[in-house]
Amino acid sequence: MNKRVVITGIGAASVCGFGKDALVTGVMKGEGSFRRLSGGIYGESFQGIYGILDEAGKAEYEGRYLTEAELSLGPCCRLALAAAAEAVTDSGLRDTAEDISPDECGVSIGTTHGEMHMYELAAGEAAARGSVIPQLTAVPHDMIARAVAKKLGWSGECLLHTEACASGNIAVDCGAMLIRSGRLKRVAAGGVELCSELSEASFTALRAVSKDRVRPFDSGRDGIILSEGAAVLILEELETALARGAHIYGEIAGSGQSCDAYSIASMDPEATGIVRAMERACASSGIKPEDIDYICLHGTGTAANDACEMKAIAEFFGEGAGNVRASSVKGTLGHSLGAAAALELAVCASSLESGMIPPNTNLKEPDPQCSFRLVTEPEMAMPEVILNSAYAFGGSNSCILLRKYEGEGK
Amino acid sequence: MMYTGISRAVLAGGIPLDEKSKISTTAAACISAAEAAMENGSYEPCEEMGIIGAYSQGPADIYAFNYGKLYSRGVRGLRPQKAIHSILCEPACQTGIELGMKGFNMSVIGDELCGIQAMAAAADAVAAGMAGRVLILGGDVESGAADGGAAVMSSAADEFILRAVRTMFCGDRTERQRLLKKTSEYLLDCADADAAPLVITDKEDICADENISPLSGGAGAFRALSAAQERAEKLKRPVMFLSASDRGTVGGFIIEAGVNKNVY
Repeated sequence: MNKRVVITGIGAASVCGFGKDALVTGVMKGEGSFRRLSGGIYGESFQGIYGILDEAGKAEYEGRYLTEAELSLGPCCRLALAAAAEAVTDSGLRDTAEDISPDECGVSIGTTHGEMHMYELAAGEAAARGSVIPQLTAVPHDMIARAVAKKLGWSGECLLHTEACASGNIAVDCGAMLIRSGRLKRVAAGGVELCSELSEASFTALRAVSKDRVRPFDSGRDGIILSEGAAVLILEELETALARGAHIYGEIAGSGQSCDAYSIASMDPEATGIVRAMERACASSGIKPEDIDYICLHGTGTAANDACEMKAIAEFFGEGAGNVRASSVKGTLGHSLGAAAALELAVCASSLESGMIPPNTNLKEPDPQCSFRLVTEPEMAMPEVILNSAYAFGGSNSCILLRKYEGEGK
Repeated sequence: MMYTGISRAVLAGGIPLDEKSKISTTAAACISAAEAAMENGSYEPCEEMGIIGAYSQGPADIYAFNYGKLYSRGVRGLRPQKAIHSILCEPACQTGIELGMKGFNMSVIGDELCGIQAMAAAADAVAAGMAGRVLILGGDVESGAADGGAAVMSSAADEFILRAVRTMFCGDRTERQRLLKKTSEYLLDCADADAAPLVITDKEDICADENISPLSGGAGAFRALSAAQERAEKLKRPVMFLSASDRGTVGGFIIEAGVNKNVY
């Protein structure tokens, strides 16, 4: 059994704003909101920047979709819930599975740190009061996926994935797998991440944080900037989507995963794992490399990671690399870890529909090793096939191939 | 799908983490269990294998260690190579690095049945051709020790057959019995076993032939698998494990011993 999987709904919150439209508009314009960190654990001379979601906007977004009881849940839970509710609304569904059994609907959400943000808030408040920092106790990470499943009333499956920066892609990939296998017909899949002081500090300690802006694939790139965000996609079996006349953004045509098994803190410089993930995505879909119109790059803006990605693309596409358009949206969105790839998938799905490819922002001078055609302004390219890539610390590599859906139900 | 080479490893340690430890105690327990599982199954670690980890809290001790440094000494108090281990998927990632497994590397976070979620994901991965063999592992730190478990799932082994595995979600307590029945029916349909299975559970309120002690954490599923394996070998009949967590996961599996037959 190998069912076709389509995307029928999108919900998103990012540094571009709240809602799918704000995400797409902001990414096309290259407008993300970041703030400088200082004081507390960072000290007064700290120069880091973080893409923190606007508090008032977040409260309004969550208040639009959540009940009073849901508003008392953990912060990651609330944001994932709001994104899921927006995605369900966007897909034209009501909150429950109205056309099929709830047992045929499931949830697959990805995150890097789960609800650790809750602990950081408590620790930060204690520090501000001059109180003793509380001990880390059990954190209700899995509540994130459970809250979404509970809100939607979906009982077929409830998974919280964690694969560092590839979590969003892998959660969606696994959601698609549940549909392809015939076990489920509808899955709410995506990723969520809120500010992680520990990640910011860890990347700072590794000297991997940029002090002003992310410049993926620029010769002068100097690191990442972390950010917050969430995106949830509604995935459906094609026949189920067609039966209810759903709007279809595009199809998940294939996927490939691999693992570097190299280092917890860096990618394999030979980039063989990335190439393998791309090869597997093509093999699973029957799509040839030359059929790929656009690559949404992982492009974190660190010297080493971008170099790996450039090497992999040069090797995978060979002489055809120069024909493929590519950009990283992290210059605009920052790196929202477990949410990053889900946000990028949301942008890719919108690109399939609108034909517009997002720009790689903040570029001054492209890295000479860049063999692909780096898109630096929004471009009406009408892509038919898009590759979304995510490569994580710890070694998980994930590529998802999206294809424009040309059949009925548009 | 077949599985073989199951093992558990319990390592003393946990919170507070030993200053000299480079990895979390959960990761260390998972690696020990994985090595033993590979040895039990007479496997050499290979690049093509995939890994799926399962935890309730993951590498909690290394998070606690790094948070301790961060909140007492600030950003400059962190050791870079240790700080970066604070990712929830660290046990599976570290196991992949130690054993050189490059097929894929995934992890799930959940309640005491998260290991069964990992088993189901492994079955899907093997069925989808993502890897011929998948190492599933799980672990957590509890009461001053890290409990890790591991098993090798494969499309070609003849020691045990995982005939069916499934998890569902119960968001409303009134649905619990219906979802248990549904899960059980699904497992029986998929298993298509010749004999009715012996049913075991870790919950007193679930009607079963036998009870085992309650599961907990990421390694819980491996204890359920061990218990089911032991009975399947002894009784020469299929065994179904069925459970429902108070946090919502409903799940189970059916295994059978010593039948050389690929069900996927």
